[in-house]
Amino acid sequence: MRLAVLAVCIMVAAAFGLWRGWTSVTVDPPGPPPVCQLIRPELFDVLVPGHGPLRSEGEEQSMPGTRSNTCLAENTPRMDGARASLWVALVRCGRHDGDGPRCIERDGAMPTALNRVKHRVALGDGAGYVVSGNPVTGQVVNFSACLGTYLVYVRYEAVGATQPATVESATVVAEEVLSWL
Amino acid sequence: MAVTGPQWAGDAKSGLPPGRPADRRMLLRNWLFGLAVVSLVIAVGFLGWHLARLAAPTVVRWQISVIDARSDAPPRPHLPASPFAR
Repeated sequence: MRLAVLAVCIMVAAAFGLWRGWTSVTVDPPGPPPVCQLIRPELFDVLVPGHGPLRSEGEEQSMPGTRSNTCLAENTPRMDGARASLWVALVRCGRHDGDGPRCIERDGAMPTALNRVKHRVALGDGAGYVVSGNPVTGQVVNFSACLGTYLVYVRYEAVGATQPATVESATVVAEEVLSWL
Repeated sequence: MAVTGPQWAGDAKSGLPPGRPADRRMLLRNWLFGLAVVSLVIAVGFLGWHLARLAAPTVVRWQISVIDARSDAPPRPHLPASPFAR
């Protein structure tokens, strides 16, 4: 009887220790490919006409348990006031704070904004966007899409473009990045 | 009617008066056993915690490769028309 109780106690202790260790551990994933190279130059030319050199950043901004890199294309305002800016981040998820590597199951993967309508899009494991701004000062689309352990985040700001065109552009960029993964 | 006395009076162990050396030895043995059990449980829990942290990188990388192998990437999209030309 004593041995049975001892065996149960040991098994419970081992399970509890394993669970505590597993849920508290942080594991960084392998790094994602450079996102600037996953977008065709023609796409940058269409969405950000006359853009300057692409600016890519490494992993300085990565959250614990993730690895990421970003790409930024900007142009200067044209004579008619048209201006655009495209910022894309590719994040790969590992493990942190009890969250596993599957992107769609992680907290904060999908866009959240107060007093804004979140739109869902059928892309990858799950995608959605939030629109802010107005056509005069600039439409800003924040688009997120998950595929496996990858999260693609697109922020496309366009002055002089309609909202549907801006949303479609951001969607195409996310789709373009996901198509290479 | 015969007087048989209380039920516990027939039990040799429980009938021992407290304070006898044999009883104290038994009590000490029980305490030591309890202490050993508690120490063992804590040690096993700690070992499990360490084991989980040691194994986590390998397990997570395996999870990542399995998840990504099962993901179907969408086809490459066509180039869109300029959003400024609409």
